[in-house]
Amino acid sequence: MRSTSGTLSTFAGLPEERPALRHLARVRWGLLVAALLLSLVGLATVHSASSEMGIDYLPRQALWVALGLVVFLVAFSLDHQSLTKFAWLIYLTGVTLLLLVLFFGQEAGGSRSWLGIGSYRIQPSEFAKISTALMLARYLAGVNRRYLRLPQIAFVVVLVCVPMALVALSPDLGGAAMFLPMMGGMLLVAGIRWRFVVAGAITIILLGAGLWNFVMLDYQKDRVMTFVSPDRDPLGAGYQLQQSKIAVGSGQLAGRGYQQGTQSQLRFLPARHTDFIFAVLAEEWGFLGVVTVLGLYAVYIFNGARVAGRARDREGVLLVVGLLSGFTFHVIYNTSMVVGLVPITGIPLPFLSYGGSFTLANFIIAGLILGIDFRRFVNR
Amino acid sequence: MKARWFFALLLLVAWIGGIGARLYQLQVTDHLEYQDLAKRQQLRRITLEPPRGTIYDARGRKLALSLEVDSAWACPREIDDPATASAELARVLGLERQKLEEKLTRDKEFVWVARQLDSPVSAAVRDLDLAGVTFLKENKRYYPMRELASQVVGFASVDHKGLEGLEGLYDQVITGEPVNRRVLRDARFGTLSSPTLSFGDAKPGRDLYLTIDVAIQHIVERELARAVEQSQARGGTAVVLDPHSGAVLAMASLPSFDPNRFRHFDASQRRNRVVADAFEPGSTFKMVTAAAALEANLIDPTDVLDCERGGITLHGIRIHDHHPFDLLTFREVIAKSSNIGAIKTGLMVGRDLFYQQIQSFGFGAPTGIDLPGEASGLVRPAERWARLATAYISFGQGISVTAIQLVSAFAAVANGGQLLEPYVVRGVGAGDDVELVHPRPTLRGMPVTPGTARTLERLLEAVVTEGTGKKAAIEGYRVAGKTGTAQKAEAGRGYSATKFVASFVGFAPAREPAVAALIVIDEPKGAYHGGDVAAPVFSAIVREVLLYLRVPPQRVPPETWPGELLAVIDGQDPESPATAALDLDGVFGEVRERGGAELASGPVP
Repeated sequence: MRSTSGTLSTFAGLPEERPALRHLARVRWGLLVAALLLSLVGLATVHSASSEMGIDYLPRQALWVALGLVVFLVAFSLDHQSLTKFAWLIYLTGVTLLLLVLFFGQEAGGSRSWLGIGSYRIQPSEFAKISTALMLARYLAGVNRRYLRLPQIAFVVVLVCVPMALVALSPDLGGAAMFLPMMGGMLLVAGIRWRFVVAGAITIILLGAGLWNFVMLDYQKDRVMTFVSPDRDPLGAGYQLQQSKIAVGSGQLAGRGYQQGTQSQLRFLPARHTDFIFAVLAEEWGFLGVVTVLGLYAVYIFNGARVAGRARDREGVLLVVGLLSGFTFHVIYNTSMVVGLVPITGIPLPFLSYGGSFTLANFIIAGLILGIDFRRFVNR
Repeated sequence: MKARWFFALLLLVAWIGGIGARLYQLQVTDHLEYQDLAKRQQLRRITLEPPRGTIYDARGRKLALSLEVDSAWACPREIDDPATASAELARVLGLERQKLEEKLTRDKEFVWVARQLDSPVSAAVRDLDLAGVTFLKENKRYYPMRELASQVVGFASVDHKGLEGLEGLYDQVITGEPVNRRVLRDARFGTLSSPTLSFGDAKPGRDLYLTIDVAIQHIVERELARAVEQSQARGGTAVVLDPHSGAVLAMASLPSFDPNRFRHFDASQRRNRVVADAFEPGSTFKMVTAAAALEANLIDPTDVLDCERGGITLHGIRIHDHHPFDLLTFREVIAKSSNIGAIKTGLMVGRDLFYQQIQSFGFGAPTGIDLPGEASGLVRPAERWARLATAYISFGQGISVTAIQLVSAFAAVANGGQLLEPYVVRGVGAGDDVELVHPRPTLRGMPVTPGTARTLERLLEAVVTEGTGKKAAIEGYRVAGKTGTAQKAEAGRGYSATKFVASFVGFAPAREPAVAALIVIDEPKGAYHGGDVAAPVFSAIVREVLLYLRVPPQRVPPETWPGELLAVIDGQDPESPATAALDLDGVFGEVRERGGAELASGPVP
């Protein structure tokens, strides 16, 4: 892990003497191209999945992608240290928004997770993950030890638990759970003893049991139970999984063709333009298509890992690891859920699923990661 | 640190590998299973029912038609508040709220709310604007003339199956050929026809063109209903037909029913008693006795018969006349309807010859009319007749006939002795391509020679001019006919002294007949003679029908000038009954509101 290796410039920004083309060459294009290609696939699939519903979500999603490119450029041009400087402020803003959403939020799909701004709605939990990652990066970078001490770990857990609990209360368990891989990845990188990892795992299991018994709502339990035995209620929650499997399975090797997927076109598959868009993709493009898309995610993730491996400073490393862990977990969990490997919960697929805040958040993440990479030689 | 990274990476790769393996399993190894599941839930084999053909009257007015209407269905999962929704629906549809609520709370994707709604009702349901309640198009059968000729037209079920009357008999013709189609269906059970999956189109049903004329039918039903009401009778039947073709112009049974709501009526009201019920004809049957005697040259109208002062003893059994007569000419026997005169005539003819004559007029066998459920009536073979049967049958007892048989027999007399097959369906077809079912009359036999027919006609005219049927007379026209007053046989107790069947059957104008008609009034109270109860109905009906058919008057009494009659025919006089009969707007207007269909303008082949 190199923290500071570049010595070519003494200020943030672009050194004057380097021609612009050389700057462009320093951008990690693999990650960006993967993100853009995935967005295009997402737009096409959202169109295919929603045009039969009466409302075509393509124009809206296209707008979100366009806005996403703008926030990407903003995030890319900001030095992450100028952000971590205000980590507390950003973190508390995120928490405040989550509090606001609990009291004034709008409901959709059983969760009160959206804040209405004019005719648009934002989902603060997507941004709270980024703000929390900034906060953890700032804090953990300051700990100058090989292994974290227990109080430090406890503090990190508290920092994560505040926004996570607020998200869980909305109630959006899937969204809340996405804080955990982020925290796990960052703790792992910051230095944590195995015994704490094991203890943490046990705590999470116990906490899960507690949640099941005292906090979780029936529909959430239903989803978990459905995973355990899908035939229990074929028309209820199991219906979603069954339809998803039928969609994926009937895609076979080469797919049924764009907009030819009858599972989605005939509206058998619920949530086809959001959480289950991967099933639409699998039906219309087949095994070859989904493997290609998974390949694009792999390109994104491994490029991201490469960025983490050679970022300029510890804050950058931690931030990239946190953001990338969350991203990776989203991809893995969503695809696993679609093929019936894990319980169904409301976790969308980055760049593919329809959703404004989620799309913007992913472009911000891509921008931050690429920005950290772009400035890896810059010394302050 | 390196080991941890390696470990995390390994986990990651393993998991992605797991997803890949799972995808491979679903999409490559097991894909047939999932494709099968997909097909099973996405494909539906549906039967496309083409709309049933229209039934037109003789002038292209619609008696039965199919209209596309809305059927409301619901997706219970999408209904937020079933209690409120079912209360509102119950109010608009007039259904029970509990039943609706039970439907709307079922764990299903599809339930019928109400099928085949009339347009105002469906508009009211649409106005409720309930989430989760949607509409499908279905064909609904409408009978715009309602009770009019209802037993002839019959009706079809909600599922477009013809059940009774012509709807039942011609079901296959009217239904057309349904086609089975494989269609894609979406998750809400809506079907989407997909051109690549269809196998041809359904063949639309063909239309029926009847001989029944709604205007004549209306006259007949109105007058019959009036008579049934006035005499407080159990019911009545009436037939009007064209004696030269056998075409039935009107056929009515009262009480009748509304085929639009056929479930609310008894089978007895839905039965077409003109063809399905047999009754003892009584004195009207004396026409057959007379025909047999004349045909065998055994008697002349002027021959005198001793009517025994009203009583005769045969094989130890005393038979009475309704009125004591002394000496009567044969012409008077028929005109005054002497039973004893008829018995003597019948005995003169003899059992076997008489039986032959009865058969040749078509009694004891179906007439072959194109209506379902035709009865044969009861005519025992001659060798099984009891000793007194010839005598009884001579005045119409101990034998039963259907109304259509009786009117056909009289029509044969009107038609110069040619017995024709009666029919109600003139043509079958679609659009301009109409095939005539009876291009020319179907001759069933020659029960009497033209000469005998002419003699019978004069005898039947005398019934109206000087006999029991005076009330059947029509100003300006000669009328021929016969009255009938039959006691009803009661099971095991012989003949009833209080229950009668009063009838009049005949044709007009005599010598150049345009229509033959039969009126039967079942169990009239008070006056019960055919000449008092049925003959006036015949007169009223046939008078209007002749005017409607523009049959010129034959002889005009001094007080009535032909111009006046022709004014009535032309509908110039709005007060005249003929104009009233033609003005069926009352009937049509109501229909327009119900179905919005354009009526009275159908094609005439």
